[in-house]
Amino acid sequence: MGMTIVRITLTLLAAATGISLFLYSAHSLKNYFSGNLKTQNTLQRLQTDFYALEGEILSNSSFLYYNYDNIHHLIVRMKKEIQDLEHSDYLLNRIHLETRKRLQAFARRFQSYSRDVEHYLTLNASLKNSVIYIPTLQLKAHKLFDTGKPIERKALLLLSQINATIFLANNAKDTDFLPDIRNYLDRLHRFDNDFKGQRRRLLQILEEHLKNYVKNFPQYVQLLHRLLHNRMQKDLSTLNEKFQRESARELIEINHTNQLLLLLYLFSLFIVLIFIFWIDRENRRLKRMKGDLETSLVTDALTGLGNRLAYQRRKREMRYPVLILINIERFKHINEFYGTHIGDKVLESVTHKLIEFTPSTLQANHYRLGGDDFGILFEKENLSQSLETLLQEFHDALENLHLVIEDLQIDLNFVLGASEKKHWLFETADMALKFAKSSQRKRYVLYRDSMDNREEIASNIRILRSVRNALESDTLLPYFQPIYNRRERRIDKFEALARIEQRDGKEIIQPSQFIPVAKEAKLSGEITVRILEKTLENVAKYPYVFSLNLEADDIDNAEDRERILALLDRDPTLGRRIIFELLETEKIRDYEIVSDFIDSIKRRGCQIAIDDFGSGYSNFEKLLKLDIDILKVDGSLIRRIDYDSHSELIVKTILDFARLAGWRTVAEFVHSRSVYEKVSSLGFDDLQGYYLGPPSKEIPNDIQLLFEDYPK
Amino acid sequence: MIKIGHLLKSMTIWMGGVFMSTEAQNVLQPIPLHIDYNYAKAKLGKRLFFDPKLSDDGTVACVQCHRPDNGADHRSVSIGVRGRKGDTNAQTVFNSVFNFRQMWNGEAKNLKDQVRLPIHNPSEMAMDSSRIVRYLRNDPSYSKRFLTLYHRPATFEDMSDAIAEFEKTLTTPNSRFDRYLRHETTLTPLELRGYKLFKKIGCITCHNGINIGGNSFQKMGLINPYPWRPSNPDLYALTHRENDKNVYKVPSLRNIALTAPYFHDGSVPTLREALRKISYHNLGFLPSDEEIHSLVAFLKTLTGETPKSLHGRRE
Repeated sequence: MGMTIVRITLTLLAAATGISLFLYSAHSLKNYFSGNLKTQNTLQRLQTDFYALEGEILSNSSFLYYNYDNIHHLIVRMKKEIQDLEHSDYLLNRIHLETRKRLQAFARRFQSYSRDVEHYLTLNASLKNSVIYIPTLQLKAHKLFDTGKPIERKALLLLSQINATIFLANNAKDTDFLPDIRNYLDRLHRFDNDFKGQRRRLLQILEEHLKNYVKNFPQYVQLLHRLLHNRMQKDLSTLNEKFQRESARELIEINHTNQLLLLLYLFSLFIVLIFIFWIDRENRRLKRMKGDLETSLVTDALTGLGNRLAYQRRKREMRYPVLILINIERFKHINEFYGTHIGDKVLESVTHKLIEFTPSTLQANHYRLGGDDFGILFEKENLSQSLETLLQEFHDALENLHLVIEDLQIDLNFVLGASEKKHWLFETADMALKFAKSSQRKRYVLYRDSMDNREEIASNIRILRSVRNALESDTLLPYFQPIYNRRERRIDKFEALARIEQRDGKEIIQPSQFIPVAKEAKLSGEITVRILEKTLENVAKYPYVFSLNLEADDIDNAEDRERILALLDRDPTLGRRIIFELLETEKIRDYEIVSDFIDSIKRRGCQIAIDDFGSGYSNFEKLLKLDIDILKVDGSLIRRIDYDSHSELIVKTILDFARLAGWRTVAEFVHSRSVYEKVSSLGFDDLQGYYLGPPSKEIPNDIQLLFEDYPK
Repeated sequence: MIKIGHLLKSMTIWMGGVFMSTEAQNVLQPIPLHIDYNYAKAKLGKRLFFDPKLSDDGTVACVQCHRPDNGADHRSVSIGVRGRKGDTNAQTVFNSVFNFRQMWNGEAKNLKDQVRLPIHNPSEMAMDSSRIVRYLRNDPSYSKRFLTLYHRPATFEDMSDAIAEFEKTLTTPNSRFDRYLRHETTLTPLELRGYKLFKKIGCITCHNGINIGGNSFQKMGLINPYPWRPSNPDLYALTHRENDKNVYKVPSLRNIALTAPYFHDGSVPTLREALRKISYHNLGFLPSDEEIHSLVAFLKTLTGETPKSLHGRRE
């Protein structure tokens, strides 16, 4: 189990790893391509923009009129591009360390470059201011100065020279013209005192502009040179190249990684495949194991024959099944006598023989359906003779079987029952078998519907349930039937008869119905005790003698004996008004126990009667061994005594015997006047029966004899 | 979407280029008729722009120094919380989206970055970030708007973003000059003379681009020095380089007729005076009345339409 979990976990891990490897590899490739492309594009745009910026700077320096917005737009865009690159996740990979370093350096340089550009714009504007204004001044001077005056002509000439030089210097961006301009400045300065008013002011303004020019021009030229000839363009190219080289290396690395990932992926697939293979193998093993288990489930280990389950399965598949049940009689005896070791060998041999005796044309299956029960199951259509004949042949073959096991010759008797009732096949075959067992003559029986005891079984179960209910709900009650003392001509005794009341007394179950079932269920002792208990209450209440039934089985049970004696001991004065009527004395196995028990109840004053005497095998000899007081002659002998001379003869014999033994006699089943007269004339001491009074729940306080013409 | 936006932008630039091809090599460009912005954020930004609670004593809103009629302040220097006087004339917020930097010395690199400066300035709104954030998070309506638009509780950054988004909408297109550039109208001979003079005397070297300025730094007093004070909002205040004294971001000339008083210190109440002053300090001469007259006529053509987003309560 632990192993399985480990394997499943490993496989799931492998599968998860496989999937994540696949996803990772796809993701890393996608990241690489999109990131790389984006970065490359930005780098290229940066380079292009830088060219454009230099172009704009150049235009600004060559055109008098220029829109600074153009330059600012480019700078803002480039700063954004640099920022994008600096914040790009893609470049965070250590493989792009060089690119990142160079990018940072470029960003720093560009920062100062853009400051220089601004400064350049300021310088440029101030120079242009003068460059534009100096010609304007000359135009004004031509209006102010008189060319006729030498000094004024000289001034105008100087102004022209200045204009020309400024023009040359400005267009050539050449600082070599500066000494000339300084020279003009000196000469201009010397004119200061030669002019007055407007003319003098004009020259002074020009002087200021020239000063401004001289002051700013070198700086401007230098700055322009720096802006146009710098390593930044080269830096960007190198940055681009570096990045290309790094990207190529990264691609190779990614390829390597992906190849490794592919291998790992294949490996995880391999693990999953192994698992699938293992699962399949495990499945097949489990299937085989299930088969084995099923076989053992349906097979009897000793004989190798199918068991009850196998029989049921096979039977379900059949169309017209026939079942022969074969029972080894007294097999228990063999086990006890020879030991189970030999018993097992016997079963094995019988198995072999059964198979041997079964005609192969039957295509029968053999089963062991009980400890000593075998079953042969086959389709009816395979029968080539009548089932009866087959049974006979089987029986004869088995009866002639003389098994020799470990030098012991063992002869066995077999009983066979067969059935072809599809729906209750086993049950009906079993009924036939039971029928054969209970019959002395027939050793093989084919089931007939008359053998069906299923209803009886159902009724038994119903009754048993009623008995249990009655015991639980205390509805098991004694009914009392009067016993007439012929000599004293009065009712002086009552027999307590057990009844079960159901549905509040609306339904009464007779003991003939429930006592046999109760006995099977070992409940008769309990019933006896309960009846005794309730009878004792009446003994205390009424001045009569009460008799009640005691089964031989009850005496057999030590616990029941104890309870009966304990009840009697509660009130020792009552004992002498109790009679125990012993039932089924022929079933007494141990006379000593019964005899002892009789002694102990008699010591408590009770009397002992033999009930139902004359039915079955009543044994006079054994009765004499018991210390009894009363003999109750069975109803079957009394019932017809008024006209059946046979009964009369037997009863007379019994009465003689009883008189000699000194026992009182009671006639049961006195149900008519003629029977009453007959038994009276025969000399019975007590009479009991419907003619004298039926059993009733209550004992009447004042007994009125029920019959009118009371016999004399 | 971004690509289409880009395309439109470059198309606008291109189209401008086409119209401008005969006009001084694209040096001056009309204000685009369409601007991309997030309506919901801009709406939130507008509310913030008008909200005096963003200031220390709850009296000063952005709009008080950036008036709805010109985006600037009529006072020479702005008055902040508790009546504190500043050192600087507030520049117009109109069209400021086209400036290459914000503030006189370009201290803020863009609109969003600019928001913090007046808010934290002790003589303007004098408010610290945490107080503002607390206010915005405690106000149910603000806190809900921020959560919806920025998917997190209000932050100073998101507030700046919203205000900047609103300021983007404050453009003034369709000035007579823009329509002239687009060949939709003509200028009077006086205005054309002013335009020509504008180029001839070199104003255009600094005042170019969409905003006719606002895209470079320049020294005030190039020829005749301008008096320097330590409180000046010049580049020197940031760099402390001698050369950067009195160096300012060149102001835009858009709507210049409406944004008196002039210069960083708001020292000049009229356009004529301003023209004289800048000519004297940066060109070295005082223009004639006739020249001033034509220049003023030209500059007046730069007055555009008041931003639509300021019309009415909504938008």
